[in-house]
Amino acid sequence: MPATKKQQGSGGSALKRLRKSLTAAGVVGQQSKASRSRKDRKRGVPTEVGKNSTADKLSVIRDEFNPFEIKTERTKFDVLNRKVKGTGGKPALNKQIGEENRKKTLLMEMKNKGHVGGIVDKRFGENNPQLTPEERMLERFTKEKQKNAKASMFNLDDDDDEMGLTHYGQSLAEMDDFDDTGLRLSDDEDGPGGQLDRNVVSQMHFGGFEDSKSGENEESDRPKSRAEVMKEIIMKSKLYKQERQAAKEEDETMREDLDEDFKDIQALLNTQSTKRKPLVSQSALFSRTEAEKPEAPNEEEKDEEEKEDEKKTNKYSDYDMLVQELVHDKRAMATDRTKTEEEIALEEKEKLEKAERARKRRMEGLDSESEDEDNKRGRGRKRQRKGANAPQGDDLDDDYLEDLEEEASKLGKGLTLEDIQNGALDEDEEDSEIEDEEGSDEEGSDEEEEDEDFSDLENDEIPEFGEDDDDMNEFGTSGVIKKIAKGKGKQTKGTASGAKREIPYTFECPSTHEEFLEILNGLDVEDVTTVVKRIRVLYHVKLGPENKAKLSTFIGVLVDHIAYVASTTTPLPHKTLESLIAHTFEIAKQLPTVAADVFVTKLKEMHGTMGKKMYQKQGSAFPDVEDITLLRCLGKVFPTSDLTHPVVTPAILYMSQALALCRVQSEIDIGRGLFLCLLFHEYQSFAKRFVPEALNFLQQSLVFLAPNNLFNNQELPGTFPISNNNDVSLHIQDPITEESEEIPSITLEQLGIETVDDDESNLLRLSLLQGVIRLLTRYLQLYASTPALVEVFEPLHNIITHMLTVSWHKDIEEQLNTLQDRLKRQIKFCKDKRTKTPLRMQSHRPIPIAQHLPKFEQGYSYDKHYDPDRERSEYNKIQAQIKKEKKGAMRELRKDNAFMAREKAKERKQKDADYDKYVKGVMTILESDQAEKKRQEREKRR
Amino acid sequence: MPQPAKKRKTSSGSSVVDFKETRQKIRSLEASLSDKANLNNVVQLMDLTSSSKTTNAQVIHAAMHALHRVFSRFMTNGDLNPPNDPSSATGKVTLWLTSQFTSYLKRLRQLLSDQEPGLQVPALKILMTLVKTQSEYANKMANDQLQPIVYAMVWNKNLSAPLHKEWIEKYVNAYDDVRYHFYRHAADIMTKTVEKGEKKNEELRRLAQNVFSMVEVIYSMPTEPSELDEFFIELPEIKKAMALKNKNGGGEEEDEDSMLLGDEGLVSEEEEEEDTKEKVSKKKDRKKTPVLQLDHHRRAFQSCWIALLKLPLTEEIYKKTLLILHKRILPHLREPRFLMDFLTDSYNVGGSVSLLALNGLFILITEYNLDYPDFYRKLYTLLDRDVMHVKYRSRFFRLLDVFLSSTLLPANLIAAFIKRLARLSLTAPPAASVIIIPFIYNLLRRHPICMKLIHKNDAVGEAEDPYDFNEQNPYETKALDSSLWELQTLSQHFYANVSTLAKIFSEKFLKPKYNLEDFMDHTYSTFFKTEIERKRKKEPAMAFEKPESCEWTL
Repeated sequence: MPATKKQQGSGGSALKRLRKSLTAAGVVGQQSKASRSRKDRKRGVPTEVGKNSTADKLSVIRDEFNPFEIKTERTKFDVLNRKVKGTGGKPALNKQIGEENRKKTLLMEMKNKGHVGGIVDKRFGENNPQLTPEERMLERFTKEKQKNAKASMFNLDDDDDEMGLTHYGQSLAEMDDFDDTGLRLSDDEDGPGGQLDRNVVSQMHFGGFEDSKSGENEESDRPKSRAEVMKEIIMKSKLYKQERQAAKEEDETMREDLDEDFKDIQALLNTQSTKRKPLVSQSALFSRTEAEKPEAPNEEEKDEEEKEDEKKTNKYSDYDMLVQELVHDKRAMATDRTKTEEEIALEEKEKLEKAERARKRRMEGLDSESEDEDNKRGRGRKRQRKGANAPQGDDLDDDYLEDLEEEASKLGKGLTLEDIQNGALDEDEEDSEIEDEEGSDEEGSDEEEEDEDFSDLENDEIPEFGEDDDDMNEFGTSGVIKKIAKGKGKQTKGTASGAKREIPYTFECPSTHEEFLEILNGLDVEDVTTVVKRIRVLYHVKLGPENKAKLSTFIGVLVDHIAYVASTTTPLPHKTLESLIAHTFEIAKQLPTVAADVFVTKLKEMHGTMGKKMYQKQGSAFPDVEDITLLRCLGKVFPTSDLTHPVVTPAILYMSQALALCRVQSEIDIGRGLFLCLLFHEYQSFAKRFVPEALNFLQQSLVFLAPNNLFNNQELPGTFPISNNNDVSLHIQDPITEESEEIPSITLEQLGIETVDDDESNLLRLSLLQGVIRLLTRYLQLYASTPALVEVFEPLHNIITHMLTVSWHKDIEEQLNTLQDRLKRQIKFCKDKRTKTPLRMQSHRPIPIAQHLPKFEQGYSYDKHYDPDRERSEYNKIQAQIKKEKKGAMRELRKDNAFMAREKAKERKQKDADYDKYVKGVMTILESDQAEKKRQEREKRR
Repeated sequence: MPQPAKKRKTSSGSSVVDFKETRQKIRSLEASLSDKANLNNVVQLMDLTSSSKTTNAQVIHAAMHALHRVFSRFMTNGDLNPPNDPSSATGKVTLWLTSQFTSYLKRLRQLLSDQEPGLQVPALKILMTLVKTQSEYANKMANDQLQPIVYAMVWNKNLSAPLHKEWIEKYVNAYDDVRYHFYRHAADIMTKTVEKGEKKNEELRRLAQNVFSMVEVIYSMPTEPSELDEFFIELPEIKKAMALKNKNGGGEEEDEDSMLLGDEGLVSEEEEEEDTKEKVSKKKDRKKTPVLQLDHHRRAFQSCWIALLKLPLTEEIYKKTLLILHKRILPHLREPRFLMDFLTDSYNVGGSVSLLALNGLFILITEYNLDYPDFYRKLYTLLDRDVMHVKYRSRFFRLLDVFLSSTLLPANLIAAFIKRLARLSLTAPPAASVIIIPFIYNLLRRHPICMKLIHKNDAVGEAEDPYDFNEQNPYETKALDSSLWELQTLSQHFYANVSTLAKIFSEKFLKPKYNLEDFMDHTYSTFFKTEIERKRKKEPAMAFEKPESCEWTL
C-alpha cells in the first residue's frame, strides 16, 4: 500500500498506475532487491503485504484499484493550495475494518456480559499492547528458560553429570584439547615453542590418562564448573587485595620517611624562595597582574611564630598550609631584579585606577567584573597573593625596603623613600600595608601608648623582616626566629604586666559584645584600638580556618561596640571611633558577605525602631547619635557611589525615610536631621546623586528656624512639603544675639540628649541655622552641575532673600549673604548654559514610521494558521482537536450502538428462528401423531 | 460572666460575701414569683437592678436576668396582655405589671450606656430577645421597642467596643430587617435632633460619631432583591415569601412531572384557582412589607446617610466618609444626585479632602451627568506641594490618569500638568517619583505635541523659564514653551529605580504605554524591604579607599 499511495499523488493514467504498482509488488517485471531502498531494508520494513503469495498481492492490488470501492466527493469550488480532507475514501473497507474490530472487542464483551468467571490470561505480555508478538514470544521463551535453569538436580541436560562418550571409562567430553593447549601456552611460555611438549603428549594423547587426575593439572583437564570458577575469582581478588595493602603500607612508610626528611629540605627550599617576577618593562600582562597586588593583609607572618605554641594542638593545619604553599610555589625560576621606585609607583597607580574604574562601572550600574580585568574579590585575592609583593631578585633582606617603598607609593609621591625609612619606626608600622591609618591614629594618642606600640612592634615585626609578606612561606630559619619571638613574647608579657596600663596581649576572640566589654573592663576608651588591633592580629583569617568564623562574629561585636561607644561615651571619642571604623573597614574587606549581613541586620533593627517610634508618636523618631555613627561607619565600609548596593541602598532609603517622615519636634531632631544630611552629602560626594529629601529637610529647617512670622505658608516659595501641625515652635527668638561673640558649631554629641534647656535654646537654634546654611552651601556645590539647578535652588534663593530682610547675628548674616551670592551666580550660570544648549533628550535618529504593508507569506497555505498571537493559536488548535476528538468519539459511539443493535437484532432473529424451528418440529411431530391417530381411527372405522 | 466585673468583685473583698447573699436572695425572689401572690417581689428585683442602690455589677447582672426570666414567663402566659376590663382586680394587676415591665425595659436601655461592658452586652441581648418575642407575639415588628433601643445606642455615651461589636455583628449586619429598621430609626432620630436644634454641638458630634462608627462597618447592604434573606423576626408574611422564593425553582419541575405522568385530569380546577390566588397575594405581600423590598432598604439607607452628613462632622469622619463614599455609599443610594452638593463642596475644600472627594465626584460626573465647571482648573490646583506626600497619593494618581486619558484634551493643558508634576517630583519621595515618571511618559505618548517639552529644536534656549508655577489656570501657564529639566535631574536620583526609570525620556519612545498599576502603592518602607531582602548574587562590593577622618561638627 505504501507504494501505491505514492503513485496516487503523482497521477498518470489508471493503466500506468496499475503497471507501476504491479512492478512494485514484484508481480510483474524484474525482481531485485535494489528496488527497495537500502534504508528500508536496513530498517527491516517488510517488503509488501502478502509478499509470499502472488495471489495475495494481486488481491490487494485489485482492491486498491477497484473503482467501486473508492468514493470521491466533488468539491463545489476548487481552491488552490487547499487540502480538503475526506474527499476520497474507501467507506466499504473502513466499515468492514470497523465491523471486524467491533466483533473482536464489543461483541466479545456483549457475549460475556453477565457472565462471571472465565480464564484469566496471565501469560507474559499478553495484555501489553506495546510488545510485538515476536518480542512477546522471546520474553516467554527466556522466562521459561530461567524457570528451567533453577531446577537442575535431576536434569539430564546438566553439564555436571553428563552422559556421553567415554574412553577407558573417562568422559571424552571433559577432554577438550583446545582448552588444554590454551592453558599450557598461557602457563609456561618459556618452554620451547612450536612443538608440543612431551608432557602434553603424554597427558593429552590417547592412552595417557594416568596423570590427568593428579594435582594441579586436574583443573586444566576438564572445563571448570561454575563453583570452581567463582572460587578462583575470589581467590584472585583476595590476592590482589593483599598486594594492594602491601603496596599501601610501603607507601606509608616511604611517606613517613619523607616527612622526616622534609624538614631538612624545607629550609633549602625556602631560602631559594623562588618566585619569579617578570619585569614590568617586559610585558604588559605581568604588569597587570602586578597591578592587582593585594592590599592583602600580611601581619599573619610576623605572628606565626607567636602563635605556634597555641597551635600545636592542630598540627595538621600546619601541614596543610605547607602543602598549599608548595602548590602555589613556582619552582626553579630565575629571580628578578628589584623593581625601581617608578615601577612600583606605576603599579600602585594602576591598581588605584583599576579600582576607580570598577567603582565607576558600579556607579553606572554595570557589573564591575565584566570589565576585562578580574578584580573579583575572591579569585582576585588569590591571584594577588600569588603575584604580589613577592620577593624579588636578590632579596635576602630588602623585603623590608620594599614594604616601605609600597608604603611610599601609597602615601603619595610627596614623601621620599628616605623619609619613610627614617621615620618608619616612629610610627606603628606593624601592619605595614593595610594599617597605616592606624599609625596615624596612634600618633594622635598619647606618648605612653606609643612606647608600648614600639615594643609591640619590635616583637611582632622582627620575624617579618625576613619573610615574604603574602605568601606565608615558612622560613627555614623560622625555628630560630620563633624562639626569639617566644622569648620576646615572654619578655613583653612581663613588661606589660609591669606597665601602668595592662592591656593583655592575647585574648579569646570575643563572640559577644559582653565578652568584649569584659576584656575592655578597666581600660581607657582609647585602648580599644589597641585591643582590636591585637585581636585582629591574633585571629587573622589566614592563620587558621576557624579564625574566619571568629572574625565573622567579631565584626558584629565591633560594630556593636562602635554603637556602644557612640551612645555611652561623652565627649565623643572621635579618634577612637574613626580608628574603630577603620578596623571595621579592614575586617569587612576580608569578610564582605559577613560584614554586609551584620550591617543589614543593624539596618533592619534601626528601621524597625524608627517605624515603631513614628507609629507611637512619642519621642524623637530620628536616628540617634548611635545610629548616625553606624550609618557613617557603613558609608565608610561600603562604596556609596554604586548605583545599587545591597547594603548602601537600604541605608540610603532608611535615611531618606527618616528625613522625610520623622516629625520635627525639637532642636535635637533638627540637629539629627542635619547630621543625616551631612551623611547624605558624604555618601553622594562622589556620585553626586540627587537627594530631594535632604534639600527638603534643609529648607524645612530654614522655615522652622526663621524668626516668627517670617514665613507664611501661603507664600512659601518652593514645592517642599511643610507640615503645619507643629506643636513646638522652633523659631529663633533673638536673631541678633549680641551677647555671644561667635556662634558655635553644632557637634554630634550635643544631640545625644533628648531635651534642651530653654535658656540655651536660642543659641542652639542659631548654631543649627548656621549648620543648615553650611550644609546648603555644600549641597549647592554638590549639585552645581545638575540640569534642573534653577528649579531646585531658585525657591531657596527666594527664601534666603526673604530671610535677609531681618537683621541677623553677624556670622549668620555673612553666611547668608555668601550663600545668596553663590545661589545667584549659580542660577545665572545655569540659565546662561540653557540658552546655549536647550534641552534635547531625544537627539537620536527619529523612530521610523510603522509600515502597515500586508505581510506576505511565501508559500501560503490555506490549512496553516497564521495567527501571530501564539497563545490564541495554540488555544484554537487545542479547541479544534477537542472538537475533532469529540466528533470522532461520538461517531464511534454511534457506530457501536448501531452495531450492538444489529447484533441484538441478529440474536433475536436467531432466537425467533430457533423458536420457529422448534415449534415447527413440535408441530410436525404433533401433526404426524395426529395423522397417525386419524389414520388408525380411519382404519378402525373400516 | 465578663472579666471586668469579676475584677471589681475581687477588689472589694467584703462584697463577695454580700454578693453571695444577694444572689441567694435574688434566686429566692425569682422562685417566689412563680406564685402570683408574691408579685410585689418584682419591685425588689427592680430595685436591685438600679445602680443607684446596688453598685455591684454582678448583682445587677443576676437581677436583670432573673427579671428577664420572670417577665418572659408572664408574657408567654399572657399576663401582660391588655386587660379586657381595666377596672377589675386582675386588670389592675396586669396594668401594674405592664408598667413594671416598661420600667424594666427602660432600665435595660439605661444599662446600655453603663460603664461596664459586661452589663451592656447582656442588656442588649435581653432587649433584642424581648423585641423578638414581642414582635412574634404581635405579628409585626415591635418598632415601639426597637426605636428606643436604637435611640439608646446612637446617643450612647459609653459606646464600648464589645457592645458595638455585638450590636453590629449579631444584629445589624446579620439581619436584613434589623438593619432596615436601624437605618430608618437612626435617620429619624438624626433629622429630628437637627430640626429641633436643641442639642449642643458637642452632643451632635457624639451622635455623628456613634452613628458613623456603626454605619461605617455595615457591609451587608444588599444589591439584589434576592439577597434579602436573613430576618431577625420571621413574620408569617415573610415566612411565606421566603417559602415561595425557595419553592420557585422546584414548582415548575413538579408541573412538568405531572405533565409527563399524564395526570392532568386529576388536578382539580379549584386547586389551580388557589394557586393563582396565592400568586396574586404574594405580589400584594411584596407590596405590603417594605422589609422585603430592596427599594425600601435603599431609601432607608439613603435617608440615614444624608441625615448623618447633615450633622456637624469631625474631619476624621469627614475623610473616612469620603474614603468609603464611592464604593460603599454611592452604589446603594436611591438618588446619588443628593450627594452632588456635598461632594462639590468637599472638592472645593482643597487639600486631601478634595483628593478624596474626587472619587465620588468622578462617579457622579461619569454616571449621573454632573457638570462641574472648571474641573481641570480645580484638578490642576490640587497638585500642590503636599499632594506627593499624602497617603492617598496612589488613589489620586489613578483618578488623574483617568481624567487625563483623553487624547482630545488641549496640549497646553497637558503640558501644564506635565510641567507641574515634574516640578513637584523635585521634592517628591521616590515612591511618588516612581509614579510621576511613567505618568509623564504616558502623557507624552498620548500628546506628541508635548514632546517639545523634552526636546527643543531651537538653536537657542530661553534663559527664563516661560512656565509660571504660581499661575492657577493651567491654560495660561505657558508650559508648552518650557523644558523639562527636572526629568534630567531625576535621572540622577539617589534611588536606582527612579534614576533608571527617568532615563526612559532620553531613549526612543518605543513603548506604547506604561501600566501605572505597577508603580502605584509604593512607600519608603516597601522600598526598604525589597532592597534589604534582595538576594545577593555575589559578594557585596567594598570601598577601596581607606576611611578618612570624619566630620563630627557642623
